[in-house]
Formats: sequence, C-alpha cells, structure tokens
Amino acid sequence: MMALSEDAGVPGVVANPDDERRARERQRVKEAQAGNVAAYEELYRDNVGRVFGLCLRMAGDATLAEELAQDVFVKAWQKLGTFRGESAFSTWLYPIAVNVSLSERRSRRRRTSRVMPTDDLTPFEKPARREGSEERMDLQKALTVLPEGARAVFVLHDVEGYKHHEIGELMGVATGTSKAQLHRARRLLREALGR
Amino acid sequence: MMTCERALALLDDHVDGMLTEAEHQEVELHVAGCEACRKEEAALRAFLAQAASLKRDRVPARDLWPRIAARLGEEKRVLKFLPRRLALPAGRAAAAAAAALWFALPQSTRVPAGVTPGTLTEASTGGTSAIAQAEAEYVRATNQLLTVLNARKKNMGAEDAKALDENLLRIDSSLREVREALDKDPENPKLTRMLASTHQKKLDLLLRLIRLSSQIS
Repeated sequence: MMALSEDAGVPGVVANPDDERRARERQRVKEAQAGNVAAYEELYRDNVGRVFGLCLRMAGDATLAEELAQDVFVKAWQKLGTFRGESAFSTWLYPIAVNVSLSERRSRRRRTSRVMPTDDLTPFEKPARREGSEERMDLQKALTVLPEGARAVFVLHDVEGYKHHEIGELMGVATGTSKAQLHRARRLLREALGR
Repeated sequence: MMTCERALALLDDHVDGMLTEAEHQEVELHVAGCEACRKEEAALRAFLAQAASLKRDRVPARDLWPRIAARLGEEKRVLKFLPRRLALPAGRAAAAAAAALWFALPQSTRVPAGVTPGTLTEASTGGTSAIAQAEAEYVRATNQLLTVLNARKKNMGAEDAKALDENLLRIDSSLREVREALDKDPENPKLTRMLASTHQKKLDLLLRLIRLSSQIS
C-alpha cells in the first residue's frame, strides 16, 4: 500500500512520486535555462547513466563513450532553450545522445575512408569467440565486436526501440539497409552467444 | 508450401511484425508444422527478450561532470563579455540575414524548426547567385556584431579576448575551407549543404550569444 506523503499539503491525498519527480525536474530545467549550472548538474546526475549506457553501446569503447557523453551534455546545454518541457527531459535528451553518437561515427568514417575505403555492408567479420570455452560471451561484450554500423542499428532497434524508418533518417541510410544491418547483427550476436 | 529456407529468411521480419498478413500466416503455418523452425523462432524471441532487457544505465568509470562544467564555463566566459543589450539593429540584421540565407538555400538544406511550411514554396529556387546574395547580407549583419564585440574586447582580459578570437577564427576557418572547396566544385550539392550548415552554425552561435547575453549580467 502506498504511504501517505507527509508533505503533500492536503491530508489524506496520496502524492504521486512520479509527479513530484517531474515537477522537480521541470524546476531544474527552468533554472538551467536561466543559466544555473548547479541545476543543470542535477539534470546531468539524473541522466548520465542512461546517456553513457547508450553512448557505450553505440561506440563500443568506454573511453570514446565518455567523450561522447560529455559532448551530449554540452550540446544539450546549448540547445536547452529549445526544450519546452512538453515531455520528460530524458525524452528530449536521448535523441541528442543518438545524434551525437552517430555524428561522431560519421566523421570517423569520413576520416578512415580516406585511407581505407570500406562500408558496413561488406561481409562482417565474425565476432571473436573462444572455441570450447566454458565462458560464454555475454551480450554486452559481444556487442563491442560487432561492426559499428550493425551495432548502431541493433542498439537503436532492439535495445532502444527505434523503428527502421527512424533509424534510416538518423543514420542517413535506406530502410532496407537498416533491416539488413539488423538481421546480420542478430545473426552474428547469436552465433557469438551460441544461441 | 513454404520451405524452411524461406521461413528462416522471413523469421526476423516475422518476429518484428513486419510481414504482410499473407506472409505472416504462411510463416505461422510452416512453424506450426516444423519443429526445427519452431525452435529457431523460440531462440530468436528469447534472444530479443534478452536484448530488450539489457541494463540501460551504465556508470562511467570517472565523474564526467568536472569536464562538462569546464566546457560550459568556457561558453559563459565568452558570453559575459557581450553587452547586456546588444545593439538591436545588429540583432535584427542577423535575424534578417538568417532568413535571407534560409530562403536562398535549397529546400533540402533547411532546418524546419520555427518556419511555417507554406513560406517555403516561393523560395525553393535557390541557386549559386542566390546563396552569394544571402551570404553578402549575412556578412553585413555579422560585421555589425563584430564591431560591437571588438569595441568590448578592450575591456576584456587578454586570455578572454584570445578565447573569443579563437572561437570566431575557428568558425571562419571552416567557412573558408568550405568556400574554397565550393569554388573548385560549384555544383557539388554536398558542399552547398555544408556551406549552408556552417553559415547556420555561425548564425546560431551569434544569435544564441545575443539571446543569452540578455540573461547574463
């Protein structure tokens, strides 16, 4: 049974923790929009785990993911004036994290393509797997050895719940390409996991 | 009658609910009568359930906030040297240049936020001369802002003035590079888009500085 809030103001009225959290978040956003960095730090603390988790899966590398997560929060600070508070702050923030991760990937691809022309639709290497090992690779670890395009599509579709047409728009690829990447990613991951 | 090979090829789309009703029923029918494909479907569904249940929150090994706070501080340090109330003509001119540049650019290069879709139709014939004209407008507007900033720099510390100069130089350097590339390949749509986005970036920055300068005392 839900406990009555002592500070709900009206005796007998049950305070909804989600409403309280949203109200506190709205207040922090308003303060941060006025330039209050301390308020923005609270928003950072509330969201860094999810943002870093997303960046880590997209990048496959913890050091790079840290850089990306920093970029996400700097970018969000710059764009904070455009947040109208119609959704949760996290709902507004995560697409920024996706875009920052994908932009970094695009610029890295541009840099590397000058010396090594390749794309993600070339046959994938098999993720490393120890033959006969009792240690079965876990999904998180297997993700890191996927080709990055396939990993991005898999994370966006199967972990984050984006649709193929949304992924296509975000990544600048055809919907069919997104589907093909996803199917290959699943096949490679299942092979790596022995499932 | 559907073969196992065909059923397996459709299995991903089947579990994602992306098949037509007829295909869906065919796969269902096949899976119902084929133990190997039934096992494959069950394994795929179990795998996807595992993926969907991955713990989304991950804690970074170090606290990222100090670096972020430092970067936010750099932004504010530049902003605080802007006049609290920048000369409005410059602000208005920048906004006008933004609009001019916006309308001169090919429709695909525009960012839709804040623009009424109906206003785009009459301006969809942007070309090289239109962009050049819009750029001229833009340069006039930014020069006004720079005059204000340069006057203000006399009151800044050397380090802050340097930071401001570096920010502006970085943007102008990008702009120059894109222009040079476009001079060599004027019909390249990617370069046109890049020029547009670089201008847009500078405009966004200047307009943001104006907006934020009124909030920072």
